[in-house]
Amino acid sequence: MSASAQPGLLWRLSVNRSAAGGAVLLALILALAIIGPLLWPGDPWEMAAPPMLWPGEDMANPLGTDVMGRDLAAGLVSGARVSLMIGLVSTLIAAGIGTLFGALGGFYGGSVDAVLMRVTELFQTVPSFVLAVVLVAVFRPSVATAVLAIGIVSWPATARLVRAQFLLLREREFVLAGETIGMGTPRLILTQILPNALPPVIAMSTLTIAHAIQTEAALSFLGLGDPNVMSWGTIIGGGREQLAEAWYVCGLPGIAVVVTVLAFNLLGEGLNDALNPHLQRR
Amino acid sequence: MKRRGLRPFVLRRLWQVVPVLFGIAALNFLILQLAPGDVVDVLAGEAGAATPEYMAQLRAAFGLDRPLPVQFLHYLGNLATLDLGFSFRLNMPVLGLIMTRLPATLLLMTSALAIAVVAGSLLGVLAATRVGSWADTALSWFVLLTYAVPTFWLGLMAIVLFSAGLGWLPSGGMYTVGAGHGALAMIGDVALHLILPAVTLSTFYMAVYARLVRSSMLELYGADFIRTARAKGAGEWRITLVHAFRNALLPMVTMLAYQSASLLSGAVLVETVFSWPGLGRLAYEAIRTRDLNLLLGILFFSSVVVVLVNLLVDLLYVLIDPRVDPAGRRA
Amino acid sequence: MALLDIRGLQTWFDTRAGTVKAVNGVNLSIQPGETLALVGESGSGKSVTAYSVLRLIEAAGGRIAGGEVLFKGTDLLKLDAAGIRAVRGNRIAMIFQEPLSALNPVQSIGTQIVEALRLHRDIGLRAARERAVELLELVRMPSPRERAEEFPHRLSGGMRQRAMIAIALACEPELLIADEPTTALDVTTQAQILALLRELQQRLGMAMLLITHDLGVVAEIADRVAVMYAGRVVEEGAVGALFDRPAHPYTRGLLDAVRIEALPPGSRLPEIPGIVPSLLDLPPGCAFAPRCGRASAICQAELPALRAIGVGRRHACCHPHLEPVPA
Ligand SMILES: Nc1ncnc2c1ncn2[C@@H]1O[C@H](COP(=O)(O)OP(=O)(O)O)[C@@H](O)[C@H]1O
Ligand SMILES: [Mg+2]
Repeated sequence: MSASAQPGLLWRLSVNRSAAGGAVLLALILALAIIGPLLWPGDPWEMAAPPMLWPGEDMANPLGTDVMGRDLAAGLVSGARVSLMIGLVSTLIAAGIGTLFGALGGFYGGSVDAVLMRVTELFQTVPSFVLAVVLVAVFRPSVATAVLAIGIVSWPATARLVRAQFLLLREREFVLAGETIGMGTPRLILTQILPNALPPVIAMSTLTIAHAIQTEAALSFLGLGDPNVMSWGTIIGGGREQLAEAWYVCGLPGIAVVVTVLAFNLLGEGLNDALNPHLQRR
Repeated sequence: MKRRGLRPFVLRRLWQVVPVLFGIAALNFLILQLAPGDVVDVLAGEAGAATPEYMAQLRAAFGLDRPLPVQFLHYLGNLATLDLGFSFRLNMPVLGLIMTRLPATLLLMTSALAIAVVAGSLLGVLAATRVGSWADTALSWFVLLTYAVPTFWLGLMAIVLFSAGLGWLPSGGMYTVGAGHGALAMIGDVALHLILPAVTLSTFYMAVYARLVRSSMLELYGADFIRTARAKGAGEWRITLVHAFRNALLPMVTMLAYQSASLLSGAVLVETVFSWPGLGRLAYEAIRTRDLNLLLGILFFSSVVVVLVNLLVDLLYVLIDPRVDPAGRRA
Repeated sequence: MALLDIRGLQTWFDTRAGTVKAVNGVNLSIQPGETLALVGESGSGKSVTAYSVLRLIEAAGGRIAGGEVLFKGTDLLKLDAAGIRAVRGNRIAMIFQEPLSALNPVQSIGTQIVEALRLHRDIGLRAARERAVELLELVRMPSPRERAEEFPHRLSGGMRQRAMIAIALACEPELLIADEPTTALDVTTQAQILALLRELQQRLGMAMLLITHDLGVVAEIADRVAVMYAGRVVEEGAVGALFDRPAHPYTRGLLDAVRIEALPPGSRLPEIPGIVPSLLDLPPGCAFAPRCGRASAICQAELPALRAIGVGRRHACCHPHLEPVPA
């Protein structure tokens, strides 16, 4: 099913306006993250110019400088790399945990499922951002702890989705056929069920990335970012004190977050429509 | 009609809360165990806020030489007696600190929720009665954008516009220091300070509810009982409000339960932005001073709040949907 | 004058695939106090006709493309929104097939009856409550005072339909439209609800348009019967006359197999071989021609009009059966 869906999928995605819009935005952001350092070489932490230069005031610093005279354009480019990287890796972690829990629960059912579902519910009860804050604070702020913390608080939705998929697919003919010809359980899960359960997980993961990027920005804003890495949240947090005099220091990285999250949300919704044409969107 | 079996329902739900609380406690204990340094380092706060003698005393009291399960039992015992430990930074018991900050957070959360429910319903109903109109299109853009805007950044921009720019509203805090005597003046003062944080926190949920109400209303417009109402001679407004919207409340309440945890997370950030003296602001202070014990206490306590809110939501659902049998499952 | 006179009614649905001509020139009339049964295969346009009378069809996505619906001489299709609301539930009321979904799940049935009353009558809440209990008594609801407080999901299917009838009768309408009111019920309950409808109709002197699949029901309680096929009435007449001498080949196909005296309740329309033409693309001639053994060139070419054959008997066929059904 998944193999034959590929050409159709691309076509469905290209005619889906929200997916196309999201993809274009995302390509722009990616391009900026990749070629940005060539345009604005140098350390984003370096104090390059007079502080609080407004955007457009001096073309050497097109987006202006922050309170410490650091170039905002360089900061934004650095933030794009950090955000995309942390969003992507933490989502991989979340998708991994979620798929594992969902697959085991959905496949085995019974008490395994019951225990895993209780754990999932627990993680949905604990306010996820507070948990992320605690994790990062306890284990010291760094890129690694941020990635792990965000991954750890983001998996429950994926687990529920995968579980539902497994419950459905478990009873399908090709799975039963695999069972009758004596396939082992891991093989059955990996070769028969998982590939068919994956498409909606991909759509959901796109939305998870969007949320992860927001969470990362919020953590850095609270001062829980990696002290050696300049992310969008770090810039916003640093600009807070001079909010009234130089609001663009907070404003620009915020807009970057909005655009990036919007891109992933659009892409995710589009993927959802394209991958689950039978499911009506709310 | 008097609903049957409401009290057993509440008791049963309360009983179901116990394993959840146990799970939360276990999670907290796990974090403590995995944390660098030993438990007492974490509990006492790092960087030597507590005296070495006290730390040694604490180690003995905690029985760190004893096996893990015993330590866990000890920890559970503490939590069960609502002993969340002591904050050496602020020199106060954690529970006391939390309790003094809780009312502000609850005020913020309920206000935000009220705004979100009322405004979201209005927008959703409006869009549903005018599908495809410019208002409907505008709403879908609003939803799209709101989903992407980080709440804390929205708060900052609101300060830029409404406090720094226009000077209409205070940019932070809960009271004006030294101003306003008398209860009425105080309430007005707090309300004024509440507007920006509450609206900021509500925006995302407003979008969620607007979208939800719109789609439920559209679904309900096709329902048979709406046709009956029309056949009775009811007008469109009556059909929309008394019949369709009343039923659209049900999915909204279900959604509420899903969101109580995220609402608390949002409150932490909004409080930080607006210096609102609640749990979130306390958490921010704890981060700044690396008061990990206080932070863990807040995590535990805010989870408990979520559990209790969900309990209330369940109860609310039973009250507004007569099809739910409190003694069992949905009929 | 007829109580209700439907003339050349056309109700269409504009869909992506094209215009569905669900009702395409229906003529029907109902006298005060009489029961007219409307029968026909599923999809023949019976419900759409009924909804069109009260103009409930716009909300269902359709539009009335032509014709008149005269109620005591007033064209309901020309009334403004307030005008048609004053008729709905007041002078013409309606009950539906699926009583559970037709009732608001979050309102007690008493409240739903009270609403029907207070929409059209200047009556206080307390008096309306009392009246609601009386109405429930009228429809033979057991312990009506307690039942008024109940929510629909807690009632049995039969009780729900009784509640629906109570809502419909709240304002003592002159015409009750019942769209397959017993289809969703079990056989015993069906008989009870039908007996109730007949009794109430006689007691209150109202007319009834009864849509049904069930020939047994027709034989039992209808005065006259109209047969619909592909959005048109193809034959109508008094029940006895029509069952004895069905003129239209479609009606004959339906009735050939059955004898009126021997119809048990619950007798469904028999199946007729062949495919119903698509309402998207109706042939220019008689819609039944492709399935008809008697069809000739003229049937394919022109649409037969409804013509009278004796008092109150009409059919729309170029080659009608004139002999009675052989015994
Ligand atoms: N909302 C709608 N949209 C498109 N077609 C419709 C709609 N409602 C009814 N129809 C069409 O109208 C025809 C008549 O339907 P209806 O009156 O419900 O039949 P019945 O005689 O079984 O009551 C059906 O073929 C159906 O396809
Ligand atoms: Mg019908």
